[in-house]
Amino acid sequence: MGVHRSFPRVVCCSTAVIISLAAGHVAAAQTTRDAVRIAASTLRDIRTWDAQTNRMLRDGDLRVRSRRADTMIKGRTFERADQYYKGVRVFGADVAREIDRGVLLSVFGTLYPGVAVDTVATIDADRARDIVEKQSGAVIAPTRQPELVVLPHDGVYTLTWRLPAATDSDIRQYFVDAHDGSIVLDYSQLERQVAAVGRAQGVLGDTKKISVSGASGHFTAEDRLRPPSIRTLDMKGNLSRTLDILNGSPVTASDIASDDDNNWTDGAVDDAHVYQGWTYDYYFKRFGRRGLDNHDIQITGLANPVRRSDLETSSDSVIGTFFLNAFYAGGGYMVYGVGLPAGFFTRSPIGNQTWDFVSGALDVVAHELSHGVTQYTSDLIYLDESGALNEAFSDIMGTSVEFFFQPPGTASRQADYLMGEDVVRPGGLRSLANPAAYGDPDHYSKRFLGSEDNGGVHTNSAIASHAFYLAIEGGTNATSGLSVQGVGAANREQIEKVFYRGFTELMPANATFSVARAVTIQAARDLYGAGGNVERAVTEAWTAVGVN
Amino acid sequence: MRGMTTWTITVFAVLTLAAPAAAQSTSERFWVGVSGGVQGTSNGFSDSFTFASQFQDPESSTASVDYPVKGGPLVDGSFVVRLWKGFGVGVAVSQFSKGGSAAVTASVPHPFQFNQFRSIEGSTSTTRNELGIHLQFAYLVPLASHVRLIAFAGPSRISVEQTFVTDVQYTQAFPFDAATFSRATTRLSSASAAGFNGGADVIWMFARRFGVGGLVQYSAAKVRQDLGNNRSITVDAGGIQAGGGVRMVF
Repeated sequence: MGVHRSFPRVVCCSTAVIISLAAGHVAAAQTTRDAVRIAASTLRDIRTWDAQTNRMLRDGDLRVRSRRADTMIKGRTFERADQYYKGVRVFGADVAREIDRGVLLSVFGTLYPGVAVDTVATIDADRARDIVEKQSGAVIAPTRQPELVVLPHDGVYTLTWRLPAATDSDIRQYFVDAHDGSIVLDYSQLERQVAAVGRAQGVLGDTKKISVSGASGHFTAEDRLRPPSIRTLDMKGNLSRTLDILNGSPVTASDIASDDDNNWTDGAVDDAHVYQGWTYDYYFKRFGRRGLDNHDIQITGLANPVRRSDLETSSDSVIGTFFLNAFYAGGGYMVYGVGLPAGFFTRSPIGNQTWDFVSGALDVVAHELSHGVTQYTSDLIYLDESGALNEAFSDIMGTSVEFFFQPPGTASRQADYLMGEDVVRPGGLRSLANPAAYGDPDHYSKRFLGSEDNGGVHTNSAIASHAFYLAIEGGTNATSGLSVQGVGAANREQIEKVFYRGFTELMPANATFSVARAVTIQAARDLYGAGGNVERAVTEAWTAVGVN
Repeated sequence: MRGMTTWTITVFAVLTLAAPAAAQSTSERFWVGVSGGVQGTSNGFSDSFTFASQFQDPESSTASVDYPVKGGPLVDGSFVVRLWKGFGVGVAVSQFSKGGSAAVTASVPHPFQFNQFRSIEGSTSTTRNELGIHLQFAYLVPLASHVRLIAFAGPSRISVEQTFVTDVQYTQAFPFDAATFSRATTRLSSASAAGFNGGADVIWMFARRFGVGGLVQYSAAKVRQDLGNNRSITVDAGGIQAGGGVRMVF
């Protein structure tokens, strides 16, 4: 497959310089509702807040919580003080002061000058503990005393009892209204990498949800909502690192795609990650299968293995493998090619085609993961007819995943019987409905008999995948002229289950097309009874494509 | 509450100033009543709001809450002073409390797909307390030798304390086809508003200074509750109230 260049592409970049001023004009205080946020760094502001905080310390409105020596600059101390209102601590209100031999150097914090609450609790600490126990399901020792605090929350101050409660799944902080016993606020204080759902923009500019991990404003493409670990690596065009990982180097944190605001914009990464999850969902919901090995093996996708801008300096083999390809590398690893820069195209039987990032096609991602399913089931030998069946199963499952998640149609991101049509435009790579249009055989008599492509695994696969199509949609095979009465699109689930069962449970590793016919007919009998319309559709389909 | 205190002081000031001017025409000048009864009106209302979804989902969840504030027991106390002929002025205080169970329905997003919301349902206990202070312009009519009718009307100040649902917790797990209501976070909010009252009290005097009375009155106010986060809701307070109790005349 040759790559043709029509015009060069120039990429520009700019450098941003951020200047940080140590003694600059930092706002002294910002008032949000009643909260005064202190960030004093100018001399004037520091003097103002020095007087203010000293006055509050004298009045007991501030109480020193900790004081320790600066271990980096001799002579300085750090002091932290909490705000109190009528002897009750105001939750979240404190100041941090930096002092050099008695002279205040900086002060930062948050204070609430407008507190006004009744500080005599109506319910006692034991009652508050009972309420938290009832709410959380935790059993809290009587020795753990709730703390009476004034809670600024939702623009109001409330006298509350503060008490943490630990269960087997969480540690939550509870604030119980000290007058009426209602829970004013509760939140988890368990600090961990948590599951997060973000917004992702796909290769085609569409928006979808992405399941990631998030902590402290840093999000990584590691799915924590599905049973297996599903992660996507951003190789950032580093082919050397890509090859290291494929050759067994451990994945490091810096390899995993990340985003700061959970608004993901690298389409190649986003679609790879999202579509891997969708493919897992399809296998689980349709067949009850738990991932590639049915034991939730980790799934790892590698996006951006090369840079598009390196196309012209890349070898043909690199272009064929990492630009115009996606592949399953074994052990749950997938690699998704980057396509071609604008202005480049390939030639195929249906004409010139442009290539986008291949992970932008759901059927392609599902196709590659399905190779993993094959690896852990039939392990079809990737050569000749068994190799073609291996490819056919991936095309069949890739198409099925499309129909599971996308509405039928011919537009972008709609389900059809073309493979890769969303990223290889126009027309995609193969057709299950009309293989001949792509130069592939629609009948066993027309199978490729050469040695290229491992005996034509990507060509002869069309014979089996066309049988799958006919078993669902029905129709007449163009070569044999034989007609098939399919089960109908509304019943596609039946044929999907038949092919899944036949290919993953009954199929031997060195199967031929004839064996594929036999195992799928057996699967149809197992699932829907002998002599039924499903068995008839499957049998007629194989016969129509010349497989007996 | 501060507004209500000021209001109450004003009412008593009016009474204190008015009473001496009308102090002489008959021996029945001051009427005091204490009644127990029911508030018959159901002031149920609905509320809806959005709340943060789990996993920092970019789609918000929405909740609808039906608060069934049904009728319930009422305590009422009144004091009326006759100023001139049958005309008088008074003040009454009524207290109504009722617990209930609010029905919560929420729509929470699917974590993997946009626009695929799942419905959850649950309930949580709520309370409603109403404290009404009523200024009453009264007209006293002797219906028989031992029977008196006091008709009255005037402005009211009604304070409402109500439990509101402010957040909804739910559980969900892969494949996330369904979610389950876990609990609702509630907040007790109070506010007051001006309204009006009107009604009649029929009194049978079984002794010179003591009697029993039957009271029917209607009071109403619309009370706006501020729930924080720029959320507020206006609830109806008061309604038809009926009861009976002891009466004293001085």
